[in-house]
Amino acid sequence: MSAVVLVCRKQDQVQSQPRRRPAQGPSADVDEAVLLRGLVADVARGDEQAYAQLYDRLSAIVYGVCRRVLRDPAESEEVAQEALLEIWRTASRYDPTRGGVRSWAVTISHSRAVDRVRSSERRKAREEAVSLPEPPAYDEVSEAAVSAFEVRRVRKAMAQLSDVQRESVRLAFYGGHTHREVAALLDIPLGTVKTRIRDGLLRLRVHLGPELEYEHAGPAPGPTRRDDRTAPREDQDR
Amino acid sequence: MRADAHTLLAAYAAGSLGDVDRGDVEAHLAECAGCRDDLRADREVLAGLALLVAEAPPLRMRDEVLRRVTTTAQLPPLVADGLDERAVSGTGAPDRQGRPSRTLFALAATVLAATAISSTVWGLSSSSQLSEAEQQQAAVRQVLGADDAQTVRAGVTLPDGSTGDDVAVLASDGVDSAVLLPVGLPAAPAGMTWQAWTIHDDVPWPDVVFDATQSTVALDGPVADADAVAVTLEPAGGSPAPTSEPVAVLPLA
Repeated sequence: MSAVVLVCRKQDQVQSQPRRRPAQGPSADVDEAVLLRGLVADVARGDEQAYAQLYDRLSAIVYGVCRRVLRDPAESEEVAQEALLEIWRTASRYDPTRGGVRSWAVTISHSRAVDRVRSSERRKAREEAVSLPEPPAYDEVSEAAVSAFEVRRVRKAMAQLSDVQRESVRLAFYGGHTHREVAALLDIPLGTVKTRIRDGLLRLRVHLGPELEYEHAGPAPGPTRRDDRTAPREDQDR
Repeated sequence: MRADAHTLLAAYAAGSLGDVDRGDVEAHLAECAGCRDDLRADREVLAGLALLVAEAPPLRMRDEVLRRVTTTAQLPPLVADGLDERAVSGTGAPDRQGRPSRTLFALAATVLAATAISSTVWGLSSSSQLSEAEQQQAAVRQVLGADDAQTVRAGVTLPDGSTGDDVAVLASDGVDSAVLLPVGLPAAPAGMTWQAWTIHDDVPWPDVVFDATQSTVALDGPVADADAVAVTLEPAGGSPAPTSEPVAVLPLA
């Protein structure tokens, strides 16, 4: 088990993650989810040390989302900072019944990144880009923030989507494109984009579903509700 | 509507809706618990996708964020009575002398409520007093509502060398407004008054004179480019330039 993991990118970007990762697997995910929730509660009371720990666990996820949507490292850093400060500022408003801490952090970051993209003039230039670079290989990811187990699990789930579902989900989420932009980029009807995104996310829910339970403090969404949601439609591969 | 909302919900979670659609979905979410559950599940899935692209940011960002956090105010929790003694200020948990932290936002909010109550209970004693109270309330409300509100706190060193309790200022560059909370100041001696200053490039600009019995003191400003807020003791009526060393200096970010 590693005690300290150094992620080397460039000279000035070395960031040490002095954190022991618990044994990998679903119970580790539970531990992490519980730990994060505890840190947010402490942060809500103004605990700056708890915030530093929260920063170490969330900053790579926040920054990564910004980088995918904004591309430019300087702008990504700026927006990531704002998102991390919003996390500090609104910690008391974090509601565990609305989702896990990472989900909250990703929503804040993605939302800010997308707002920035939509308001910038570079939007026109972005509309030209159709293919996105592949997500970085696992070894580039900071291990304190994300475990290898989790990455494999999500990759496997993504592999279960049809190519067209995966493409629409990636363009919308990683690319930060509106669904109209995705339709234009792929030259397909708007309705098709919406359906592919919806079915893609539903399929991901099926494959990631059981583990997602751990993120929730309370009982999972009612079983009947999930059951009639989890079966993607037959014509899903449109 | 339901079929539509569900189709749109995934796109909403992924951030790919335009403003109009987004508004529609948010309106629907307010009244549909099932959709809120679905949204939660979609967001968890998207958080999973975010894990795939996690990337360690530059080390300097950590220093910068941790520094900014020390001067960034937090929202107090939402509780039924609107105020919570555990509501946090930007200054964190127990202060350096180990006293429980003064919850400055809660304090300012209490003042806001109290001022409103008192002007109702006591009626209009004079129109000028009411407008002064209204002005204070408006200033406090404005700063409390600002996204970039910062709370700065400083110890007080009185002219005779003794130390008082702390004073604090809530300031926002965005709304160009600041409110001083002169909690730690004793009454000014006869013939003297407390005066606030905003410091711009080391030059003190005179600001309002005030009474230590005031709970909040709205500053005239400008605040947006000020480096600090300071307080001195001046002859009654105030001075165009400070005549003594400041009793408190509150640096602004």
